[in-house]
Amino acid sequence: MAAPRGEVPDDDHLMLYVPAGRLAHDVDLDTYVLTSAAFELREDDDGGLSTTWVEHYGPRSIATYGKAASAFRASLPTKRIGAKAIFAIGNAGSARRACASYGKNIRVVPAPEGPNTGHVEIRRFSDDDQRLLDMLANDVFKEHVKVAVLELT
Amino acid sequence: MSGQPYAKPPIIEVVVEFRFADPLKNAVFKKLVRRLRAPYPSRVEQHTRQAQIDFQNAQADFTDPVPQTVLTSNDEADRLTVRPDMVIWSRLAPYDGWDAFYPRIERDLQVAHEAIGFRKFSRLGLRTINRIDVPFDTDLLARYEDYFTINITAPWEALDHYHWRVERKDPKDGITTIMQSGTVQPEVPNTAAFLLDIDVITDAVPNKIDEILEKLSYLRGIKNSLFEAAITDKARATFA
Amino acid sequence: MNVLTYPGSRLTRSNASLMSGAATISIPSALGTRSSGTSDERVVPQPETLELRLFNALAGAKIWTAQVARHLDRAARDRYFHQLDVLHDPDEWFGTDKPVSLESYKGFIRFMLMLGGNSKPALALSPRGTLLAVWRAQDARLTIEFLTSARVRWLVAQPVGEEVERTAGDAGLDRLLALLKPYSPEKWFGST
Repeated sequence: MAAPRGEVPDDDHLMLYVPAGRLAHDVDLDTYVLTSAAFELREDDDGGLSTTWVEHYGPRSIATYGKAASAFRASLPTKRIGAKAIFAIGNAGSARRACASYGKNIRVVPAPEGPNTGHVEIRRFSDDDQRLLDMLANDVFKEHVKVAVLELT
Repeated sequence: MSGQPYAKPPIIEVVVEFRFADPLKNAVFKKLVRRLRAPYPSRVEQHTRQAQIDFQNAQADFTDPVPQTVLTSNDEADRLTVRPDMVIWSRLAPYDGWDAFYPRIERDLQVAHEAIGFRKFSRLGLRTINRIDVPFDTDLLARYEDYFTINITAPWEALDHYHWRVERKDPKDGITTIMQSGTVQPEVPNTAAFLLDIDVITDAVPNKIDEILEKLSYLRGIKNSLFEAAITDKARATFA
Repeated sequence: MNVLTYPGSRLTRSNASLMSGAATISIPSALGTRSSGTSDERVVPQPETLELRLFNALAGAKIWTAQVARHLDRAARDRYFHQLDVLHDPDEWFGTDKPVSLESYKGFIRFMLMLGGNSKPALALSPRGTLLAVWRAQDARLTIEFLTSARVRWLVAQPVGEEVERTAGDAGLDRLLALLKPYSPEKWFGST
């Protein structure tokens, strides 16, 4: 499936900020599960799920993640992100296919937001189907980067 | 001093109140809070107001705000409420017994004495709130009367709620006892919940700390006797 | 040290069905103050900062737990409190998210009381303040979201061949164990 014109290409990647509270930590094992709650639309999400386009800031690498995270942080009213938070990274094409499998024909649309020129909204997305949110959390946005290891500017 | 007779006591809260004969002046109150707060990780400053409502004349009068500091442990189970007119120690469940609760009172009283000197108390009270969760029988009735010896005789076989309250002042020692019981919101699945609340209060408070603490132990003895008289062996079996 | 030096909201919960009627002698308690027929004393509500909002939510959950503490294993209670504290770290709080709803927390505790045993679910918080509990075993995952004290959303994700099969639903709390039976829940909960 080729991405529609003007949208984030299938081969590119999206970073989703996940606050520590959305991560279910195993008490004894010091591991965590990314829960479906990370993909719930929040009150501030006006029009779609808010993510950041990785390749807008450069080729995929830890340094690029740092640039994208910095831009995301700069766009927040508080200018703060949690040290124990993570960014979950997923492929745009995989996200489209996952949503389509649950009947949602999403649009992955660049929507610059202040300093975050790589801000992307996942539109025509709704968070009513737990199975889709779980699929996104566990099968699509599988790569995780801890805020603590990123070089933020 | 006896330890805890039950492995799982039904106490959900125990409260000890000392009421000052003369409310503390603001500076003294603040000094008291400063000295007492060290062992408590959390502190919340509040104000309370009282309202007197005159329905006949459609008037409401509010008192000036009274400061109140609530000092708590991280799990909120150990609490110390300090006001200009009273100091209240409380412990929420899990209750580890009087031997665990009493030393905190003794310690804090000593700190208070060192901080602001001896202050006369006009009232000393001890209250325990007990909760029993009674499983429903096959006929979907929770027979609280199998657990409490003090019961109401009502015209119906089954009730939806009940509440009783009795009060007595002992003519010999002047100690007032208030006992209450009633239904409360069930929290444990497939049970009905009942509270047994025992208040023991005296207005004759000694003028020395060691005698005050002895009086507190005396109140506790009365409370224990009333508690044991108010429960059945079936209830005791659930506390083991 | 957790210190809030500004006025806070009331941290008590009253047992309205019990504390009725006139009383001339009152001793304040964390679980409910007693009011007389014509006079009432209340804590004056104050505007809430984020720290106070989180503190009040945590305190409310911990104070309520006293109602059922004798039915809970002490280590489990301490563990739940620790997990709640971690989820409500003010330094990690994001945007307009809500702290744990007391009704959701009650649902979680009631479920754990129904379940018995000693399973240790991982806990997370939704933006709406509902608690999610996650159990994992043999690549199979169970997530339960406690919508209220009596209603849940649940999801089972388990491998079937090379696929992941997902089944979800919402139900009354009292129906949940029956609904989970086809998924061999003992692998998550142990013997209960």
